[in-house]
Amino acid sequence: MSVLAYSELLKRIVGIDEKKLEKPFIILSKHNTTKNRLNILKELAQNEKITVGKLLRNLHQNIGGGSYLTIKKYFLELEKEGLLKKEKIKNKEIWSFSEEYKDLKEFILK
Amino acid sequence: MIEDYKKKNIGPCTYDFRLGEIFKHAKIELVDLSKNKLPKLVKLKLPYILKPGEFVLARTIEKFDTPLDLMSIYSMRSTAFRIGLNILCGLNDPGYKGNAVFGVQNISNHKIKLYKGMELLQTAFIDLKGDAIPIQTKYMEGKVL
Repeated sequence: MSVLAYSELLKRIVGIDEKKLEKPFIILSKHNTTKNRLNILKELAQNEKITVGKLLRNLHQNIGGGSYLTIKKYFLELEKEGLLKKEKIKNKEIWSFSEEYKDLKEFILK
Repeated sequence: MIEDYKKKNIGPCTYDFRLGEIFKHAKIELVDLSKNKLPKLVKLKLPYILKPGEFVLARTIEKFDTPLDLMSIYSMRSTAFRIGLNILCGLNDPGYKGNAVFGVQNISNHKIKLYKGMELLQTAFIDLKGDAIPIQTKYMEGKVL
């Protein structure tokens, strides 16, 4: 007989294995993930597949050059790490979480 | 295992429930369980001001679907007694489905506001040894009384 502690409760209630979150959190901290960037990732998780411009518009943020390019650069860094993936549809770049890090996506969403 | 949960309510080894609905007993001369003579329930609106000595029954927002390898023990959150509330609660058996139901009594000398989402009850889940049989109860699905 034993009492379930946090990691087991997280697994049983939310369906997230905390151990699988260690690696993505290291990646996020390595790439200067601010509160704003985390909000952008949350919006990405909610939308499945979306462009950077649409993400910024959804969050009522400036979609002008500087903000757009900063987030795009951040996404490209996360893509290199395998955390995000990019698809080219016509002339648009559509972003989503990679299958490998779906636990992070679930964690951010819940 | 828990429906309508909030991730932030998972604690070090417990889950904190949110208050969903409250009920009071309608006036009755005598309650006699042996003759199934029970008080009727009156649903109250939240927020509700609980007077000193007053007792209400409460139902959580969250719902259980308790697997057969687990049971859980309810306990009051320390916030409850710190503000003058006593929480009356019991066990959650393996196989129970539905909301948690508990009693709330104001044991202080002041009025206390109860509101939706208030966190008064927590539960610790215990891994069972051996095979449990699912509970059969008339209080299934969060039936209050």
